Amino acid sequence: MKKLFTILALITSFIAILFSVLPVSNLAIIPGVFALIFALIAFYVSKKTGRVKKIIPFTILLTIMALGISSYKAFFTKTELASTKVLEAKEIKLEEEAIQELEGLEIEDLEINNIEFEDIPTE
Amino acid sequence: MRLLIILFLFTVTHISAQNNAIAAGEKLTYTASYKMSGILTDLAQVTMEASEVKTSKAILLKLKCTAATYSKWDNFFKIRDLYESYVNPNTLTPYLYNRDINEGSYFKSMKYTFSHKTSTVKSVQTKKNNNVENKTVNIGSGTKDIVSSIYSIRLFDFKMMPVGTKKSFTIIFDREEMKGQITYLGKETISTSIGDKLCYKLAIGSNQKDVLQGTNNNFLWLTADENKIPVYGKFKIPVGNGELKIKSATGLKN
Repeated sequence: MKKLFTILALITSFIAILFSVLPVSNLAIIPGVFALIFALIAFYVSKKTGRVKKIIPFTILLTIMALGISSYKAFFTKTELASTKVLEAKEIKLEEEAIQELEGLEIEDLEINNIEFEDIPTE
Repeated sequence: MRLLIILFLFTVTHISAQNNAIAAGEKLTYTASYKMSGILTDLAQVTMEASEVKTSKAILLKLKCTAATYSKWDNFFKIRDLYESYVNPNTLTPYLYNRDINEGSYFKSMKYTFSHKTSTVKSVQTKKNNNVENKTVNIGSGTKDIVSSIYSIRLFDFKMMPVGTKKSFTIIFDREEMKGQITYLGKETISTSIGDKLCYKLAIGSNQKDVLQGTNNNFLWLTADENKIPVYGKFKIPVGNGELKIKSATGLKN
């Protein structure tokens, strides 16, 4: 029992720390909470049976670090747009090509058709 | 008599709408979020812009949608997508459509030239390594590209529409026609970053299961005013749930 919860706490705390340093840092909260629960159970069971292994406080520390990093990133990291220069250049190129193509279309083509949406009878 | 009523109900009625909601200069900016294990994460910025394009023969409206991931995602999964449609400014009938997608290492571009006289679309698809493929596709009379279809939803007169009204439309996407459907669900006031807005709530569905899942999982809220701008969207796609929230709206017609 003690061993099982210690292993589970260690695994989930590693997952939490891994998520916390990735852009998906918000996801660290779920394994982080589980890691804390498992570590606390392992700590409680260990204390009852005698000696508390050093690995348990280590997993708690790791989890607190993971939760700290993901909370910091959630509150203080600004979601800002990266450079879209390539996209803007593409837009200009496509517009130039489109205008050339549209020049080749028959003017009648630009006059026909209205918007057509079909009514669906309600049951 | 009953047969006549049934026949009448099943007769397709075409609705002609005129554009009194979208003007050149309009720019709508959104934040696209994705739900990962129950936590909503901001992924990308989506912009929808309308501008005027002049040719020697006509003045057209260019409807453009772009999506770009936020900087923190760029090293992980970079998206730079562009969709644009050149349409009749009054009816939003498309004449030319471009799609240029850059997603991670995946690249694809698609061009449609609509010929409404012959009900065909000439398509040019370009993939990585300049792999070009030309194909002509037959389309129905009301078929539109995805961009003009989204904008066309804004031309409906929801004021006169009874709750529960369903409309279907045909979209050409990836050189295939697919059916879309919207259901008007009534009015609702929602809180957005441009203020509390009274909105028309719509449910959106598609016959393509790999695009939008279910008929009652995807919702769109349009402001209940003359502009009918989409302010909030909730979508269920095969890889999870997504949200689209408005950040700013400028250059509105009304």
